[in-house]
Amino acid sequence: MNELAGVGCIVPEDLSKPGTHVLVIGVSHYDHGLDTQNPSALCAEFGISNLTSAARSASRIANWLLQRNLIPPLPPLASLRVLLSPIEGELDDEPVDARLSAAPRATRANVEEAARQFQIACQSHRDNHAVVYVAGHGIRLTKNGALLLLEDFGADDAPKKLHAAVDMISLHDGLDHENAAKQQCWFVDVCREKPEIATQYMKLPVGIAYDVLDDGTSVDSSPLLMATATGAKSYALVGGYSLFCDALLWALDRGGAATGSGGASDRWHVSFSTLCAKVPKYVEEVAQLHRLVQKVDIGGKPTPGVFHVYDRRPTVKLTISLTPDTASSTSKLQLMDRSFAVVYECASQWPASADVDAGLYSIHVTDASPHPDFRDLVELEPPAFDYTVRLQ
Amino acid sequence: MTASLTVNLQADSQLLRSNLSIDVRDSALQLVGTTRSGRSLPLEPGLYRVSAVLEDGREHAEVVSIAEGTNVSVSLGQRERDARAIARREQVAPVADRAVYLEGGQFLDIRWPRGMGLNPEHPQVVRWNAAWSLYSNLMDGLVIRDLSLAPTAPGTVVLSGTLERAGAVPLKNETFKFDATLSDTPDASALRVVDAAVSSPIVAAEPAWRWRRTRALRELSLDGLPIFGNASEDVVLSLPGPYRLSYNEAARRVHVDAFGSPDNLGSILLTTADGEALSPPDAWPGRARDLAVLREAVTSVVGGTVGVLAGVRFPGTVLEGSPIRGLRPTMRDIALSKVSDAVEFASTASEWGFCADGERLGVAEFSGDGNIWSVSLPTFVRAAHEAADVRAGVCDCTVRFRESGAGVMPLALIASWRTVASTVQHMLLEHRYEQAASVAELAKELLMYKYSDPVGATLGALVLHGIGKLREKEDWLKNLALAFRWLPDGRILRAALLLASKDETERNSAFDMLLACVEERALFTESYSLLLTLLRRPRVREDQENRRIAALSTLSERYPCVEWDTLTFTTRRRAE
Repeated sequence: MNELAGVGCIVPEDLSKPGTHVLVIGVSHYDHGLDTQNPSALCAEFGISNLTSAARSASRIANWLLQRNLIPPLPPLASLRVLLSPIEGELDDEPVDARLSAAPRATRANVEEAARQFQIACQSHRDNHAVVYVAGHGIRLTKNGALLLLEDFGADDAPKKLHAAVDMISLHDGLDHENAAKQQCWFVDVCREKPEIATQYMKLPVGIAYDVLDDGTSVDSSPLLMATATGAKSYALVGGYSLFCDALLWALDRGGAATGSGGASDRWHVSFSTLCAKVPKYVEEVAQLHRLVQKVDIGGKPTPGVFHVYDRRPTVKLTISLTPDTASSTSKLQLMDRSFAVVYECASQWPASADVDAGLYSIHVTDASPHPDFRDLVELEPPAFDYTVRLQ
Repeated sequence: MTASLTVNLQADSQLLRSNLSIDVRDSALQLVGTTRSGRSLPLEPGLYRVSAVLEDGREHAEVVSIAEGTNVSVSLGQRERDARAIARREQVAPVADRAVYLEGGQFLDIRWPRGMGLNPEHPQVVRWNAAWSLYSNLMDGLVIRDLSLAPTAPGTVVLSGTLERAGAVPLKNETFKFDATLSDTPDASALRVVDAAVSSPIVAAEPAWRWRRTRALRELSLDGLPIFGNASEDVVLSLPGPYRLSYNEAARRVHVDAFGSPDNLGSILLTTADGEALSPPDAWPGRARDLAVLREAVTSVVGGTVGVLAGVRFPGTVLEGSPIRGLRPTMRDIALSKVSDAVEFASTASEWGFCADGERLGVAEFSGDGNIWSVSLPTFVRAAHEAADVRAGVCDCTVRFRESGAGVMPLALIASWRTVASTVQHMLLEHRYEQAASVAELAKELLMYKYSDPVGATLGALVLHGIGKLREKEDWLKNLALAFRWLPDGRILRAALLLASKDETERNSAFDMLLACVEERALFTESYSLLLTLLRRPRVREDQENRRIAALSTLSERYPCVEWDTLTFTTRRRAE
């Protein structure tokens, strides 16, 4: 086991056996952005100014990936590289692991070296897993491809226009061969520039890219989730996290994309399939509640795979209301399991709330005179379930 | 095993109905087995969840309780099938019967008696509240967007906005614009009873709603002195309140607006049959549920300055929706300006239909919203020897407009009668890649040997490419690329495989194939994206590198703006 291996690695890197390798990059501060003292012509062309939550979102995701309990079939955490360029004060009061404070800036030089070391790590064992999350300004060049712009993007003295940019699809495709981590998951949380601008840059070489082998071999699965659609912004809550980051935390930490056993895991887990199905819906619905439109795109290779495994059945925050209210003083609630054993009950205290294991239950309401007794079968999905008993 | 379960799938396609996999999970949601439609699965008694991803790309699930010694039968997809049938019949949005805006509460309520939400037989309400910014009826797939409320005079407000209704799948959402002038003439001594229904559809671009007032106020009294009036008329009261309202039928849905002293904005007294209850002093929609209980039981209202509306107390003036104009589909702002190599056919109010015109790739051009879109059409192209009229009276594909992050965007969809291709398409749009791959595999014979739908075959090939299984079908792909020269997508996919060849001749041939495809329009956005991705990779040979750069320049000039979020290749340019 190596000591911290190179730029941005905040846990000891272990290449001696199969492991999970993680790369997280978050860029909020842009040296040459429009709201800095020395805006560059290129940043002006792209309309790039500092972001408020990209580094915070990346930090939060890195923290979750750092603290999560990796249960087989997932291999243990073997490296975690984090590069963050926050704006001033962005990470203050952020409740994350102290090790993340050592994350270097997401400059071209740092990211290039970190990406190189990440590639080596991913290619150390076929049974490795890899996770990549990036957030910041971006340019979309194809349906599945986007560039991530780094902190020093747009410098007037840069040798190439896209010198401080990362070609995410080349990184993704460059690790799509039989010697790379067999399971990968890529999250690209970037705004997408207007396509009118993007096409001008289609033929330009990008600063940081992997060679794509094109040898006819490929990894088992490597879905690529892109946070937003063409020409659209990737939204964030002011002072909070990006909507996409929030969706991932909802899906993973709070169990929003959790599913019972079956397929590749005999435990509750998040599969690539549920991640790809539920994260876009969550983002779209939350955006709608704020009168916004944000649609997540799925690319890469979204074949079956397990992204996260839970050590126990997820808990559901259950709230049951009763209508009409007049029946609440007498009505009794019972929540029953498969064998009709009562797992929760309450009398005349509505709405009823409890934390229960996810699963299938039968709801019974009795003593609601003059209303007849009520019964229904429900599926309690994490993280929360609201239900209204409507007495006839 | 003392019990069993039989699941029946309601799918239009016999192929899918008999082959789609059905998951069965126990009460801890652990997978206990998979089955097929119509087969009996032995199980222990208990609670089970059965689910399957059907043609619309969505997971359909039911929870069932299986008792000892029973054989329980479950049907999946029937409700959605019914809803689809209704949606197919609909030419216009259903009738809204009411719109109410409360000035003080900043609360808008639009109500449909039926036919607007996901459950077509149930009444639907969409609510907006200033404090929430938006309160939509997500459960029923109804969302208000871009709402604008502009007071034009005291007691009058002009509202406009867009209402989106979820379709059978999210990308089939329908969008309607609406605008209305809501007004009232608050009078300190006036009491108005509104009990209205709408007799004409508001989608037909009618200049106004026509109100049909049918119910009369039975009794209005002041200190026991009865005052009589009709529902359609204001009643002028000689003295300030309180007044007592009573009805002959306790369950009647009568809405009362009582205007009195503006100072009395606190709680109001509601007298019910069982005693008195105090309404909460806020107007949040969440409270509406609590008070809705009281609505039917309210026999009198004491106090002025407040309206009682569906059980909610609002400290403000109730403005009723008359007249409402509009609620017309957004697409009326978009025009079909040109069709190449396809025929417009069976268009409806909310979408355009198209059929193939020979063995060519059809393209439709739409204008509106300051843009011109060119959309590749996934028509049903028949081989020359096949019968021309496979499905009389229906189109091969449709185009409708939906909102995107940057305005509206066209979305071309394969018609549902092309069951396999349509199912794969919906599964992709719903991000159900595993199931899409299964269906593509399932349908491989259909796609490989019959050539009945090369567009569907290409979509299947794209799915297989996406999951890394296309190489297993290399011969089939070769045939697809060679047999359908009008469809460059097959050649792009073939080139992607050949570029990985160890044979340099094959790699060079693949590169030339890609360059040739630059001159043709792709059908699917994914294919065009793949073309770009492959061309963006540098070449070792200098002559190839120059041609690669030239090809990218050509593409960027020809298609400066690609709508990447569409299924079929769609480009946009600003209108002159």
